[in-house]
Amino acid sequence: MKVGISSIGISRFGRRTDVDIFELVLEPYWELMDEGVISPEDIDYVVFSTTGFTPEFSPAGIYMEYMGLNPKGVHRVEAACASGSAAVYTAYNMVRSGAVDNVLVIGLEKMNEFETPTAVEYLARLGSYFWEVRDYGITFPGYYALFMQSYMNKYGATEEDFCRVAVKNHYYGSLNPKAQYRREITLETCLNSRYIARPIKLYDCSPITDGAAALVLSSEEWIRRNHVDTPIWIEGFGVASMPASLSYRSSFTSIESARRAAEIAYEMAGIDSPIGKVDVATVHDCFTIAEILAYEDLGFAPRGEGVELIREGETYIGGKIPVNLDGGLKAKGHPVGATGEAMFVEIVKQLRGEAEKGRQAPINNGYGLTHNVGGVGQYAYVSILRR
Amino acid sequence: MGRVAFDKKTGDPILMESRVFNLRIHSSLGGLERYFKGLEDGKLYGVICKKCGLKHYPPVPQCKSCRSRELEWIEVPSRGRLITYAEINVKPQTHSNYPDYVVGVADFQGVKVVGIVKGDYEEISPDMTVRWEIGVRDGEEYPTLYLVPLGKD
Repeated sequence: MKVGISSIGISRFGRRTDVDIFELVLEPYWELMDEGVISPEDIDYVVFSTTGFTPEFSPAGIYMEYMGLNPKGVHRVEAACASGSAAVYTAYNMVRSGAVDNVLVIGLEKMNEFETPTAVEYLARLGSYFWEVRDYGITFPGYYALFMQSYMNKYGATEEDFCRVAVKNHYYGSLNPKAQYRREITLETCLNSRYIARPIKLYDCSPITDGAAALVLSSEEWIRRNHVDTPIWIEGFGVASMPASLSYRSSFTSIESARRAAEIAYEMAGIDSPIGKVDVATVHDCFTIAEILAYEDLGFAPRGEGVELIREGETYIGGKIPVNLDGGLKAKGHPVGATGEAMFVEIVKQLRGEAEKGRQAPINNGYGLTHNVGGVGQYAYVSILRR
Repeated sequence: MGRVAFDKKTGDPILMESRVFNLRIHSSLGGLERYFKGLEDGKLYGVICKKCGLKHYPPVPQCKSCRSRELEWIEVPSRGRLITYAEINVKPQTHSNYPDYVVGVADFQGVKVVGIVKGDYEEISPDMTVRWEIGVRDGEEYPTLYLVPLGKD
């Protein structure tokens, strides 16, 4: 059974103190409904994702009430920063099994509701608290800083190389009206920013973000019967995991689970090599090093040559493979539990040809890719979408 | 309840809660007691499976590979090599009382150990030889694992 994405919606990302948490959930929900493809009665089930920056520990049931979707069924999924893709994966398999026609997937994180030191602690505890965070105080930037240090040491990359990723993503963020940061930055701004987890600097980091995003996954039969205009099909969906503990890692220059998830997704979609085939990609740039690792784990560049892609501008529009044309987690923002859905929303927009001026990739083959990593690879999801 | 205040950055109204929720965890140790007792005695232990020979660090009560519960406690070799490190500048709430600290991962003959690296970030370099040391962080009463650089090979 083929599964397609029939509708999408996304809130504005940022420090959204202008809306309460319930309104923030409704923003992408009503935008999705306003596409006019799906109506609330069509929805068979809801999968909700958040890592839990919510006052309640079981928020999904509460938001159903606000969306007016009772008595439909709902559950919440969690896979750290890949929670959104985990939700999409759950819905994908529900539809693929033939059990239901339409599943609403909705992700939310309103991180600014927590005070910053609490937010830093909460994010760190998405890693291995018992063995690492409790005694050694490793933060999330800290985890990726260990990878950046190792990558710099092994391949001779510099802090400037990583800042180029920030410059690119801020450039595209400036063209995205939903992005948290809609301003360009210079290399110097990034290089002169303070250390958060040395060698990671402030401008290497994605921000603390409030945001929500939603999509509906539908069966092929429902899509055909209702003559959906531009369905976007899920052609491949790879999932993998790896040990959370750094002690059980063999490499600090690759996210092995993401590489494996990519392999599975490419095989399902019949893609031998992504370059020249995939028109546009969103990758998990929670930190600039993570985008470089993604280039290599996804096979956009050989090991150690990910930095070459950004040095040569190959991940801008017009390059070998445009990446994060919505500004990425870096500039669009990273509401952790909604990031996965937001990636799918962006690729659907790109493949439909609906992205804003200046940030629409040329769609030649009709293929797009999402790459969403939770923790430092404890969870990895790669999907291939096709127009 | 709480009182209505205004967000520092946006000026939007927010409800400032006066209620505080503390989270103190009591982790059951089961078969891991020896590890934490070892730290108190200045020792660092992993386990080796008597059946299949696989080493585990951090220790586990049951072999991840062959499921055997016959595990032997072994001391981690004293000298290792620093694989990678990072300085934590923005700290989590539970570590906010410390000045910036360096964390690292070192390889002790195939056993990878995470710890606090002693010394300044600038003086640390990859591939340095390190030894592990059990110490007490300032203001604390319980042991912490340190990686102490011994210089370049």
